[in-house]
Amino acid sequence: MSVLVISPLLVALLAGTVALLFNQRAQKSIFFGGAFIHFVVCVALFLWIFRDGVQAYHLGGWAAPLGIAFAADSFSAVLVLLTGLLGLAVAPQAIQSRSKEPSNAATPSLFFFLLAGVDAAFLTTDLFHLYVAFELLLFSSFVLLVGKAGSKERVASVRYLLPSVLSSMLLLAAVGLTYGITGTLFMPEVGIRISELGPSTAISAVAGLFALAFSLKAALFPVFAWLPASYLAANSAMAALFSGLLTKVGVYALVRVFTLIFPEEMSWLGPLMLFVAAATMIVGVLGALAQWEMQRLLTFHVVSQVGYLIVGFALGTATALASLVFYIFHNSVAKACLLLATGVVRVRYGTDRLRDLGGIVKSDPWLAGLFLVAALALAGIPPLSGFWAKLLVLQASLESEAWIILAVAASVGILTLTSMAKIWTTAFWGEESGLKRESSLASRFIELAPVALLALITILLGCFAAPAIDISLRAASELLDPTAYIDALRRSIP
Amino acid sequence: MTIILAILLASAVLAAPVIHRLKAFGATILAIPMMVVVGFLLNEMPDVLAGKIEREVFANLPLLSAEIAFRLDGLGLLFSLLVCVIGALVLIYAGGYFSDKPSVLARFSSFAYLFAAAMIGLVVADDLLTLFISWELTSVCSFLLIGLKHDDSNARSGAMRALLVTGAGGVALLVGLLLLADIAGTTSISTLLERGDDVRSSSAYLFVLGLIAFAAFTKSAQAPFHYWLPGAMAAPGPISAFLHSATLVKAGVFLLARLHPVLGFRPEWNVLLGHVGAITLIVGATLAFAQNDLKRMLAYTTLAGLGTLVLLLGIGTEPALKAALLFVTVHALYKASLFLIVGYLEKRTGTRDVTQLGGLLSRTPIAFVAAILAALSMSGLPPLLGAISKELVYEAKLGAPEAPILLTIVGSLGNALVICCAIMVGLSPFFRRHKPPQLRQVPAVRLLLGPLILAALGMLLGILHDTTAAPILDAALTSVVSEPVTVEFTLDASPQLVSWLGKLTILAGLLAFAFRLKLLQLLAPVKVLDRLGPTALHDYALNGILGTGSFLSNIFSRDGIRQSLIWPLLLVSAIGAVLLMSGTENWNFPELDLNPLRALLLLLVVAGALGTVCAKSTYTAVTALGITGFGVGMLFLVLGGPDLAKTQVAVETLAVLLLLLVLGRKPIQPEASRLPMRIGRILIAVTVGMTFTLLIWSAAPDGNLSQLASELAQKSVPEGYGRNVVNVTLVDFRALDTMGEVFVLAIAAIGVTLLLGGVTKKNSDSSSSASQKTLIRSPILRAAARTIVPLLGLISLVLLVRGHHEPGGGFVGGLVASAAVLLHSFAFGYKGAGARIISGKIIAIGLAVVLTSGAIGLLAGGTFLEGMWLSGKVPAVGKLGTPLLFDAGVYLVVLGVSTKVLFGLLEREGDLS
Amino acid sequence: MSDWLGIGVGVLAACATYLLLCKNPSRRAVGIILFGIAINLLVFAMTGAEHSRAPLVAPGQEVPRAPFTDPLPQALVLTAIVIGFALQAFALVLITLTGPVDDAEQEAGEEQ
Repeated sequence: MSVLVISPLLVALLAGTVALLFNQRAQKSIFFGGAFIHFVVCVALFLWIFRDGVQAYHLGGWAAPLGIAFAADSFSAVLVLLTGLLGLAVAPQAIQSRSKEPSNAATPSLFFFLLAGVDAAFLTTDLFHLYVAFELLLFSSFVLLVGKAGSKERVASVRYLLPSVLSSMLLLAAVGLTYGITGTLFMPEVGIRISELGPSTAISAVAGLFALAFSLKAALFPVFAWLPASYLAANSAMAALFSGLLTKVGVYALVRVFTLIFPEEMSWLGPLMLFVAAATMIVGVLGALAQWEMQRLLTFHVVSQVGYLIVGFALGTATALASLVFYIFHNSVAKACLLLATGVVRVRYGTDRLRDLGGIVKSDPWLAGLFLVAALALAGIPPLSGFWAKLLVLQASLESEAWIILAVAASVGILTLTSMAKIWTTAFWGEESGLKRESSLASRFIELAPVALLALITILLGCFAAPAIDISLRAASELLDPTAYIDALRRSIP
Repeated sequence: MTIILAILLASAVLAAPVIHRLKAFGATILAIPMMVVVGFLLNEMPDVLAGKIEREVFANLPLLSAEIAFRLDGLGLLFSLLVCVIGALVLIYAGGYFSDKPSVLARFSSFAYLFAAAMIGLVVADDLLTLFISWELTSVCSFLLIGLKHDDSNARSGAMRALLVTGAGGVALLVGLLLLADIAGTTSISTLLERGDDVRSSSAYLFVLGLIAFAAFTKSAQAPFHYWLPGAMAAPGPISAFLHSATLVKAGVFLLARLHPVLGFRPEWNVLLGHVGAITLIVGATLAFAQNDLKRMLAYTTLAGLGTLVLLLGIGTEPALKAALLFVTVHALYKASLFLIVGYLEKRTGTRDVTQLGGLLSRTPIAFVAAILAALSMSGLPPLLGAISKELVYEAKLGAPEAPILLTIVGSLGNALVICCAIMVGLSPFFRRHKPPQLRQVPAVRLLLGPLILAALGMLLGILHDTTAAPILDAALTSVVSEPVTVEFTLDASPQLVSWLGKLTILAGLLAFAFRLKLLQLLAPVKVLDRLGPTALHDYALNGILGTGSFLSNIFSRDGIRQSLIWPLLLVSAIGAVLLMSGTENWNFPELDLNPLRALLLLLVVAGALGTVCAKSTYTAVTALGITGFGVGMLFLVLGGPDLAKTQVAVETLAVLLLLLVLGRKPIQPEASRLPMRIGRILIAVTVGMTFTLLIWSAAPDGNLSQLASELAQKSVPEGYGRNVVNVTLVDFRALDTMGEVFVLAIAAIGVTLLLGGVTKKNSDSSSSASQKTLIRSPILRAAARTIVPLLGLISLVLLVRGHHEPGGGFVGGLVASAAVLLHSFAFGYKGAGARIISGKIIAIGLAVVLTSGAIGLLAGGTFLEGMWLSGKVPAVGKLGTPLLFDAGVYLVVLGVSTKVLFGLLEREGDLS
Repeated sequence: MSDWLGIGVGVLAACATYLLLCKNPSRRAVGIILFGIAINLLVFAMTGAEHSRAPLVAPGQEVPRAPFTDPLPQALVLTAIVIGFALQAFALVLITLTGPVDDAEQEAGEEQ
């Protein structure tokens, strides 16, 4: 039963390998089938953790730190659930866009390897394996990004490559240095050793290096420039996947490393991160407001919304961490929904430029309705999920008496609303653009189904926020007191 | 209450289908649920009036111990009745107004019910979060309704502006309510109302007041946030009537009234609300006076009315509050009526410009009746309710604790202008000597029913005020002052003075009307102000924000790759700076006794690195890089890492080859940068380098092996069945890392193929890629290859198999094997596309083997990647087990990847040469 | 010897940083590879870099003869080298295929 802990990773790797072995015809079913099975496994893991608490699994028959172990607490379980969900939601559009470019025969494999890297990152307890997982997901995303022809995308992807590779190298350096200081790579043990050694500049420096590496990956201020430039090149399905997952892994790593290993360093990192959060929120949303293409606008929003997550990280209280957990889930779902909807717009109208579009609410009422739901959710309108997420963040700020962040978070909320209204009034309202292309009923349904699924989840998450907030609070308490985490690892030693 | 909300929401959902079935008539049917709700409310009225108020909890909210709770008290009842009565009549009206556009009607009805639900939720909320949720929903509904006819760009921009302003207010409200809940320790409004003193004495009082007042002001269009209201007039008539005269805009006033027991009774409240209200009153009245468009005029008089309400709340005395509540009712009734009438006139004549209208008395007599009744109420003439309201207002102003004279004068002036407007809308269209434009046919009954009833209500209530209006106002006032009161419609102070004032104002109004044009000329500068006013500011601010955004996004995303690298590198050096400043106790300074060989190698490495920087051509740079890499490899060898050395050397060779292949033909241009840039670069480089040195000095272990390392070494033979500890670590202890590594390799191959595939598809035709390619024709090579290739193959297998015990392993073995394959291809040629496909399959098979080796452990009852060993040893190989299988998978993947990449590159070279 | 390695890593990292900040893409390519070498050397330095004996067990023995070099950082660096190389190979092919040779073209390309 405990093998369920590593099952998401295994399913993803298996699906990717199988996709490599078969030719194009079978790949559609492998793609969707694999995504579905992966989703089921992730849900199963989540439900198990929800019912029975933290679970762990040591691989290779060796007890960590001799070997590598995986562990799933509520935080990891929620994120793995998110991964499975997004993998499933993005698959149909990814399949569809792929079928138009037959040269991308390897997309399913890359897609699954990406999911594998993400799963591994969320579940591993070994620092070096975290690095390997990051490399796996980085590289997959990179090749997915570049896979299309066209030099514009390639220039953009190089811009993505160098900072990402640099961040991986910094992470590797930090991991190596940690081994040098503590003599182990097993995260709980590293944490124990660090607290035994007591504070020192060297430890703070290494912690700073970790923070820098993860901040780069999470696209925080001031090292976020690579994200908008790079995601623009992706097609909307990939952008949905990336924006939902990639930066979130960076945030996850920050939280995990700094709650488990370097909690003492938060005394100086916390205030610094508050500043970073505020700057990220502001610069991201201002950048978004200036855009006139849907995907560009939404991509800038990714940057801004990560800022909200960092607020939760920086404040570090139970409410704050709960806000982070809830917000990650809500935001990834809503953002992916919007990007997938943008993808549908692109397919049906040939463009996502706001000035060229118009009247979608008349020509595509269902699409418009779903988009509206997701947009309102993102902007934080009750009773949708975003409202609770923002409320949690505001409440956490209030409890910690972080007044400036409170003001910034509130103001950025208005600007977010403004940008959503901008898209709505220019592209969805107004006179019809006449750009609509004909398509079959079946393909229209397939296009919309994932959007509808994600929008529905936003609504459910809003109306039934109570259990979700409970889980978030539980995740937060597990993060603040890792006893259960460590115990689970101890219990499952083979 | 829950039932009421359920009815409203259900109607919202059912509205569209009903309209689609029944078309315009459906609107009349749809008015029925609204009237049912009125019935419910009236049913509750006796209890409410008697003071028996119950709290109803619908659900618990997950945060802050909040609830969705409702409580129907006097204030809530008053507002609810207004919303529903006006709503029902507006629905019937809409049926006539949109009679030829059923889809618009459907949307209108649906949104209108949604709005009504939100509005009622707001006024009966007994929990701060419930209140906020309803508040936001009213903003959203308003947005959707203003943009109902979104083909019109004015409607769109009006909706956007309204959303932004009220949205900003919403955010402020949330923060304010959170603070309030924090101070009072509860989100329940009924409890909150009892803790007014706590709030007033709290240090955060001013913040809370400011935030909540801001929210109220934005919603109720107080100056300087009033500019969204005229823009909202782009919405069709029914919407303006429903939302922007009677209900939505009063929400801010409601909020202030509801929270008055908690936030009022402090001078800041009086000053803030008093000033803002007064200014709004004047601004609204003046702007209304200057309008020719009747609808805009009504909008501006609404502003004036809202200003009056806020002013009265600011005065805060009991007479003032009494006057305010009565005025809410009066204003709603006559204003809604007038909006509907103007809409009717517009439908019939095609215009709503007062200069174009005239002589309609004989043509639209019923409209006139409604209009004159409403106008009389607006002017404050008996026997309409408006008269009583006016008197109470004057009384309040005269009785104000601060500046009563000034307030009264201001109020009178405003009223005079408003009366002029009343004349303009109530008399002018009917009596003015002007040829009426062509009249169109309209569904008169539906269009006139609403205004007539509303205006008539104004009269009825005016006549029967003691029995009808008074009790409700009682109850409402109780909520606002939170102690039982009895409302008497008698005047406390100077009834004569008030009566005089009333008459004076009417006279002034008549004069204003008579001399309107002349006065407007005098007031011409005011219109200019409108252009410089808040609307302009709003747009300016918005453009400023957008501009900043463009600027920032350009800076941060459009620039070169270097900029995205500078920041991280700068931050790394910041870490170094911190280390530097922390002192030197923890550093391990290098000791001077150094093995000469090691010193030499280190020097070689450093020289190579410096060489890359100084190199002027690619070849030099790559050579220098190669020297560095090889030097490092040698260091590894000398420092006890033979496997590592082999891998490093092999990879370095490949890297150098690749670099030469890829960069070779491009000369490096001289770095044409200015000196300061160069210095900056050097500075950053030096600090980054220093950072890493200091980090290593601080972190490196001091000679003793870590416990983990000892354990690895100890268990390698007994439990790992291998004598090469590093290899056992890679394929057994930490096999998962290696697994990740091979998948990364596979991705590299996929990626390179994708890139190259794009090119070769363009260049080559199918025949050439299918054919045999012979690269080097040389019999000597072939002869040599015949022996060397199998030998290399054998060596590769030996490396694989022996790797567990001696330096070697799957990775190195795979590299050697690919060297063999490459040699073979050079000598004997290969089928281009075929070779690539086979390589691809080999990769996939290798991955599958790796996964299988792990699965075996799982299936045998252990954990994934657990080493399963066959008992007994094979000679020269040792024990057979899954780690060996794993290593074989690695071998295959490495073989497949290298050959695939190299073949791909060679193909491309071949095509291009 | 780890402290001497520390100096070596510092020099390598400095040179790599310098190259990374240059305008010329070829130099940046060399720079990132050099940076990778530097970091790998850093991780290896965490073995202490004292002993010259490898962690190999002689036939018939149970444990390697002490003192030997820490095997764990070696395994880590091995993996890192391979992963790094995979990335480099891909990046290099990408850079050449992207096309723009000099800065002018690249800037123009980036403006899109």
